[in-house]
Amino acid sequence: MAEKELLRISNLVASFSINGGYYAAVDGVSLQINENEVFAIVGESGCGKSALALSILNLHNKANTKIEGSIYFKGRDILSLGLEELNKIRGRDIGMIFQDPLTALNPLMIIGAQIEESLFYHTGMNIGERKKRSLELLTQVGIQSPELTYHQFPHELSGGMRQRAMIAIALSCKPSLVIADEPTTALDVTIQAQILDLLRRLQKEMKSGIILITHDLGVVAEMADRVAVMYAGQIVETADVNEIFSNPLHPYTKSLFASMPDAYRNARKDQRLPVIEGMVPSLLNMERRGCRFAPRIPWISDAAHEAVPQYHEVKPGHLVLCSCYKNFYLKSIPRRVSSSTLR
Amino acid sequence: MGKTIVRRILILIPQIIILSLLIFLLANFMPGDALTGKIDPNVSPSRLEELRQQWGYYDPWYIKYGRWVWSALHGDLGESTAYKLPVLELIGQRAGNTFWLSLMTAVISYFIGILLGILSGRYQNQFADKAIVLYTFIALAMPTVVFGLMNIFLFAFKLRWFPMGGSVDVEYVAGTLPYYRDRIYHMILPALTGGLLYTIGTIQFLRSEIIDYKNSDFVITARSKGVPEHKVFSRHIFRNAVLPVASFMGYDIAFLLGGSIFIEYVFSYPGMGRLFIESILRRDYAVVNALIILFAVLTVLGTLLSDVIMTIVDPRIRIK
Amino acid sequence: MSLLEVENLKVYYPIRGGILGQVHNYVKAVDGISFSIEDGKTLGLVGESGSGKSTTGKAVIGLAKITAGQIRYQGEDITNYVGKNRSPYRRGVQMIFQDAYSSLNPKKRVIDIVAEPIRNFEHLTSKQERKRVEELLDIVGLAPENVLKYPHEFSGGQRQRIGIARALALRPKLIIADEPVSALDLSVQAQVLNFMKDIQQHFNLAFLFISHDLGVVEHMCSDIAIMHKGRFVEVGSKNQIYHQPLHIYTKRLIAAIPNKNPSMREEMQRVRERVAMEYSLKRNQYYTKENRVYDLKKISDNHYVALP
Repeated sequence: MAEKELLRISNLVASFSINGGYYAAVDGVSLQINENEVFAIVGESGCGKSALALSILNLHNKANTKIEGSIYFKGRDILSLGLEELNKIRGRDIGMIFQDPLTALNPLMIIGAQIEESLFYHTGMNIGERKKRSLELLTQVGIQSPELTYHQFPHELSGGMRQRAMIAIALSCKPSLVIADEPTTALDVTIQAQILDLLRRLQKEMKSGIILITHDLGVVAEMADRVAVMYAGQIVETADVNEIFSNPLHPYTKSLFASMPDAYRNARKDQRLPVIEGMVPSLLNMERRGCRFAPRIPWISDAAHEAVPQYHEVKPGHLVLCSCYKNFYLKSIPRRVSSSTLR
Repeated sequence: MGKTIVRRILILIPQIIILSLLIFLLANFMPGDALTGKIDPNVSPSRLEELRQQWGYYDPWYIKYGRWVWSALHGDLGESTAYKLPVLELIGQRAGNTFWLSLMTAVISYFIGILLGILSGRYQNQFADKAIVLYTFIALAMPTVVFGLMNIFLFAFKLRWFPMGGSVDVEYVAGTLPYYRDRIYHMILPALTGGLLYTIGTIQFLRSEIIDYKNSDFVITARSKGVPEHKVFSRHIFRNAVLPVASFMGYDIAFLLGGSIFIEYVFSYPGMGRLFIESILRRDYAVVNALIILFAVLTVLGTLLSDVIMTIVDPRIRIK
Repeated sequence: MSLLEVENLKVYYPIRGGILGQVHNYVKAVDGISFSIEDGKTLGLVGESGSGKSTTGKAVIGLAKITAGQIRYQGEDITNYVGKNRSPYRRGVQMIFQDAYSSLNPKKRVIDIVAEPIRNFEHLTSKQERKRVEELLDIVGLAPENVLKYPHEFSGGQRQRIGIARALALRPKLIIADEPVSALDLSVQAQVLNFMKDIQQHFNLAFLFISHDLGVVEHMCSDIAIMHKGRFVEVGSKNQIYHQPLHIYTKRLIAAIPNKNPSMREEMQRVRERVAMEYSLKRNQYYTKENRVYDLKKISDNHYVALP
């Protein structure tokens, strides 16, 4: 397959300043996203996936964030650009969709003005053309009465409509890359299905690349071409979507996939979900040496982990961090309530 | 929106009735009565008693209250014992002075407040911000009277830039241009004194709002669209941050109209505030009552004004 | 006799308007639903936001005012006592909330949080109380040393366990769980779900499990009621709802669940298109002229669908 590289992140570290020290939320991430592909980044809260998304357009609060590494977009390193140059890429070449469209839209501006803003800065369109294009975009994202919605404020729209408007904003300048940070998490399932459908349709039409950040494995299975699983600031496994669902290898991926209740998988009676022991480490007390998942799989011997975990390419395109996956097995968890003595 | 305002105005009526009743009862239980200062010492106590009977001093409170409301509605709030003038006329003379002083104070206060608030919020934790925060702390701790006296001493007494007090020099003829110029000249120092102190609320409020919005979701959205930073600030951050400040305007104006008491007193400015203090000291209760009611009504109207401003500027409220 | 029987429950909220704020109309949050829960069983209550599922839970425990209907607990009509403190009903029915953080008073220690229901119903010495709370913490898998800590010292999953410990304190017969795991991460969610199943078996608890997550409901519930516009559109066993849905709304809901098998992608898309087509063509057959959900009709044993 002759895939053209669209974005290449290498050795990205994004650290936040907390109580005087810097703590890396994204800790050495390298990725490559190709044109016209949907690349999903999956992980639980606190794994650094949203920090990664914001780093790509350098949208972190500069006062307390430090970003190192490089992000090449069409051959240029985004992180080395000045704000003026960066602003030419933001919105025009790379669009962003956020999780909660209610807070991500300015409450005091009508939808139309918010779409036109990016047109104003990136195209030479005049007022009339901008309005025409905005109405076109609103129609394109499936809004029934674009003229009405154009003049409405965000709070006057339903959640699904707001997210459609958000998508219209992100796509207004036909970007070649769209970063969607949990685009359907705040929505009901039927609306989620519609929005995913819309994203898929627009992606096919516009042939843009999508970075889909989510915690929902269902969304990944429905949307992604390739998947990266993040844990504690690192990517622990990357593979093609079919490969990762049929053959997850990293202990974290394996346990995460197993712990998900699945409406389509016929459950046995009294089925118990395998669980991951312990909890996601917080930014401040994260063990940064060795395999970061090791504390949560104590039944795997320490010797199985690498001192400095490396990526292993088990199949073309399927990378796993640390060799502990070779010795990992899912443990069944004992019942919590024994014959406890409550009167 | 019309409905909301009409409903708010309807709520005003019981509010004002309760207020006036409370104030009337308080005044009613104060020692002394209107006759105390009015009457020739040679009048015999029995005659006084007769007069009291005649004027209804011994009537139950609700009859007195009814009588008082009745005459108040006819524009008769009694007579000032000190000035021998109808209260309404007396207040009318002073209200204009207070109004113009409050307006000037408000303009100065908002000008400084918005300017410093923006600077402080935008350059959070930098030198300018730290200096402004220090200023707000000092201003917060500064009693109005002390600050007023300091200003008089420095700018009026030592430097002789401004007059020491009063509202206008006697030499000017009312209605002429130099007359108005002199009135403004007299207002500058008291207005600055008030403005510099009362502005801290605006500064602190605006600062914290700006800081809150600086990295809010929709501001990040705006940045992700490639909007230049100064536009992000003016269109997205500032417009949202200034909303609550605008909504406090009504309260602020009511506060200024009633609250420049100390400023007027220190600068011997003939407004309602000074009249109020003088009347208390002279036990001129008819004036005191009328002023308290006026201040109370102004406060209630101020809240109404704030609500109206809010429904105008915030589309989220406009709908309801 | 069922543990809890709810008959024709209605919760209406008035919409006020006009200058004097007169009541114009009502929001029919819950508009005539009936269900029953057996000892030790779980009823899943599924719906999207605004469907009235949470209001139903609140009405049953007395946090929302019941407009009409009847609630029977162990055969006894307790509709008028639902909100009353210290009734046996309040003792037997407890609730756990979605957001364990905001439902725990941040200024109180774990011992005070967990012991609060005990204090309302029993008079224990502080020593007995401490022992009881430690036992409860042990049951929910927290170390007894935690009794003196504050909620913010725990993670999301642990806080939800504290909420469950509080709910268990009086040995209830029924727990109303309103989205108990939707705020939790996948791995923690699995811990809490397993644990809820464990205590259900151990204490013969019944759950009214309210959720929007059809995956979680499938895992937890044997019987499911699908709610829409304040009414039930379909009630049935897990198998009936997931594999033979009859109401168009249920079909849409089931079809919208993301399939966690990427090779099924195309097929799911076809299914969704078919359902969307059916929905646009036949929608009118499933709702009255006033856009209301029909009354439930019995289709087969335990399977009820709202059809004309």
